[in-house]
Amino acid sequence: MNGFEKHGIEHLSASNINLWANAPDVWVMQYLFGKRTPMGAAAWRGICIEDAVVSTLMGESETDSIKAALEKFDKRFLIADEKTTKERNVIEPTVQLALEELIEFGKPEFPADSEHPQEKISITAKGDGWSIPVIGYLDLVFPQHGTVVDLKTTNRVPSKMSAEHQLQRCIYAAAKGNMAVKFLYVSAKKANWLEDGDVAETLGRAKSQIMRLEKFLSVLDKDAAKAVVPVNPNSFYWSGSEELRKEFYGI
Amino acid sequence: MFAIDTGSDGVSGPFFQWSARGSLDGQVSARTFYIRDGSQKTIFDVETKPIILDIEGMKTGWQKSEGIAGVAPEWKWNASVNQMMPQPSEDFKKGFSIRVAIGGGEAALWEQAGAGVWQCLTDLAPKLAQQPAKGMLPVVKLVDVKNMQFKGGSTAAPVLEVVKWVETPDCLKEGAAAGIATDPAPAPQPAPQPAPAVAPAALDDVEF
Repeated sequence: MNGFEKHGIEHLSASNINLWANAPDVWVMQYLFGKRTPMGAAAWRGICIEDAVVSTLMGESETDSIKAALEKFDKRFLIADEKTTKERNVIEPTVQLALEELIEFGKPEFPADSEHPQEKISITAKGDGWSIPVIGYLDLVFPQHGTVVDLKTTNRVPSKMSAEHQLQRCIYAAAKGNMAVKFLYVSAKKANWLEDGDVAETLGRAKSQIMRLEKFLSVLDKDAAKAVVPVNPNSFYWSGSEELRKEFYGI
Repeated sequence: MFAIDTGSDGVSGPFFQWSARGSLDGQVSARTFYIRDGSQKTIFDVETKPIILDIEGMKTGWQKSEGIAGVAPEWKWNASVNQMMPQPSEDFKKGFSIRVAIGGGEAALWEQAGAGVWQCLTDLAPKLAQQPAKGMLPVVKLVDVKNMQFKGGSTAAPVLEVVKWVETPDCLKEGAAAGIATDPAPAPQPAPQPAPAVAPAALDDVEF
């Protein structure tokens, strides 16, 4: 039995691998103990923006789509503070800017026979005595343009993709070998298209991390993993989940 | 006959309050809720006597208080609870105003600012967002008191938990006559949402 089987882990994803590499303490809590850190205002803002962009591209009016996105955001953050208000305020201009970039692509294509709104992709990582699917869900697929677009909403548009986003892009690119995979970064003021990262090189590095993860899991049960994993209270991954960390790790 | 606009928002006492440190006059001990009616203060045990929060009439904003007895604090209210205006100045603290049903057909006004009560409200907010239908209000009780440490001091925040959802009692309805007791009916719990099915997509099994 390999490490993944031992812990009932059936698949990985870009965010899972990135979390393991960047914050193994959060990874152990989340994937071995099923305790998730709550989604913050910025992440929820991204979901609401994506909903509005997809809805408009599919034919709804932009005004109605933005209204629905704001209602969805308000439902989640019923009582606003300065942080949530800041995120709420960027929803409308970011949707408008994203649509300016995407409108020329026409309607995206979604799986017709599924309730899941996004197309699922999967590639397989194989090592010595183990293999595991690495899955992902595609934001926007435009078959007529041979292009997959992942929408990243942000308050600061980068000029180069982070290593974490490069891994996500390379997983998608490996799975959709004949299509271009582009990430569209959009803020309230600016948009930028990026497609950084060499696929073979990036997946090779990811495989090294997956091998280490498999070994970690094969030699430790979950309580031992919790007891030995280094805890980094200063990691931004714990931001907003400090109490959860103290409760779980006592640090 | 003519009306004079006094600028009042039409609400009055009794007042429901949280006391992190207790009152100087000794009437209220630390880490307790109490009702203030005139100069009389009575401890209110929210652990055994849950209250109903009128979340539909709730306001949030910034409060500036000179800390002088008899001088009303200055409030700047947000246009909606979904948006927080920038802090008017460093003297202002985040706060809220909400009517609460305290049992026996009576209502009180909980209008308070400060880190402890704001934390209490924002901790409760995700549960409040699960309002099953318009007109249904949460019954909450005190389950804990949490210590909060800051660079310049500390306070204690009440931790409230939603016990159930009920229809708006008469005492929290607009223009309701004071003193009319209504036993709210328990609300049906919302049905759990089915989990979305995973797409049975044909996957390209690329290996690496």
